[in-house]
Amino acid sequence: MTDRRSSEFEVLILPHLAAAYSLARWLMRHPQDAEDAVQDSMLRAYKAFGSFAGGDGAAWLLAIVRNTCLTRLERRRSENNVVVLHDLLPPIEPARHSPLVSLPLAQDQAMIAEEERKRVHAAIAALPLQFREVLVLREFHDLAYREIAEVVGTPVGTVMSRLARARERMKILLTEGAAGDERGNRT
Amino acid sequence: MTRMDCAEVLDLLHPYIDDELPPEERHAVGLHLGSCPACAKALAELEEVRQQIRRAGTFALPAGLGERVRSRISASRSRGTQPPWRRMAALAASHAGVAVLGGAIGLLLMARIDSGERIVSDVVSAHVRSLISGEPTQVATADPHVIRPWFGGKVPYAPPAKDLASEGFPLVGARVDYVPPQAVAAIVYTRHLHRITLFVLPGGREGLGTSWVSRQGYNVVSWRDAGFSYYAVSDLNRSELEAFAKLVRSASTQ
Repeated sequence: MTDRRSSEFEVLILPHLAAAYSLARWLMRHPQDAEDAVQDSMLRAYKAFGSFAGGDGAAWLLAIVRNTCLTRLERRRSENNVVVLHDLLPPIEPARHSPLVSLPLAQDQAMIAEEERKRVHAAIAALPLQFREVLVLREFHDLAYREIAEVVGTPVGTVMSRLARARERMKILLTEGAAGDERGNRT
Repeated sequence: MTRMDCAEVLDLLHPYIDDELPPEERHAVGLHLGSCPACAKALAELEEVRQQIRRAGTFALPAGLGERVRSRISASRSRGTQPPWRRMAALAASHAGVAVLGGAIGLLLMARIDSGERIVSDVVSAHVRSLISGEPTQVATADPHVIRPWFGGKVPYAPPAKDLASEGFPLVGARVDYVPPQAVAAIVYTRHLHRITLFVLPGGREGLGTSWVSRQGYNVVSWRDAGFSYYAVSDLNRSELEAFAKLVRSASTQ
């Protein structure tokens, strides 16, 4: 790759690294697997950058991340033929608090917020992959339907119906969790 | 457009809250919601689920992953048949995470001609730096009433901040950035996937129109109003960034 192309990669693609990690983290549902998948994806993206025709760098990169993750998940399934333990576990490592960094929250409020965050994350992690990915791309990455369709490789209408079903499932999961707090007992 | 019934409206609630409907349909759904408590309740429930998800937020980039990715890319680059200086550059990049940025800034440096050019280069560098660091905001909030006082004591002026979510440009937060020779206010917005940094610098005369330039794949729209110079920087396309500038201008002169 020429120096010019390398610089373009650094400026157009590397800034989307955080989005790449976030998507990989939700697809792989495991921090180390997500890191490995991201490293692999970025290297693939770098090598394939010659074919990047301009336009939306983030959607282009996220499509590569998604393909890499799906390949890895498929390999994991065929190698194990059993359910890997961390497939069942909700993500629990602390994520950064996003809201209002500068305002001191009372300790108990912070704990409630943390509980809430874990509950929502566990519900998202429990969604089937095809619902989870459109939900994550929409709510956390603010992609338009057209951009999600580009990443996932489906028509816009499919994105719309999957997103609707994902949110309906989330509503049920979150309502159940809040009512009985029986999450731990379900398998 | 004819009036919609409940079934039609419920089908369109998701694209409605995602702002994906053409104006006429959006209007028709809005009309129905205004007069149908059942559909309005469904909308409120949907909004609540969505707010819960957004409040929870996603996972942050792990510390050091950016550096590890860059050194792997550099390593793959230096394995090829490349002149030694190139390998040295790759080596330097693997040792200093900022070397990547250094390259981008280096190119921008060459583009500097006069002080106007310099500021454009500086704000683009600052924008790229914030994207690469994964920390675009020091205060993450969509509330302008939090942002304004937050700047107190950090920059010697009170920059105007306004949430433009209803116009499709949600406010996500702010940071103090460095645009030589001073610390300046940077207000961060998003448009779908694209991040916009609005730099507010003190000084500048009034009444000049907006101007546009493109640097390194980023668009920069700038204007001057009420004693401030504004620079909006983003990878968003030019026409949408100009629309954003227009909204900010009209908001600040209200």
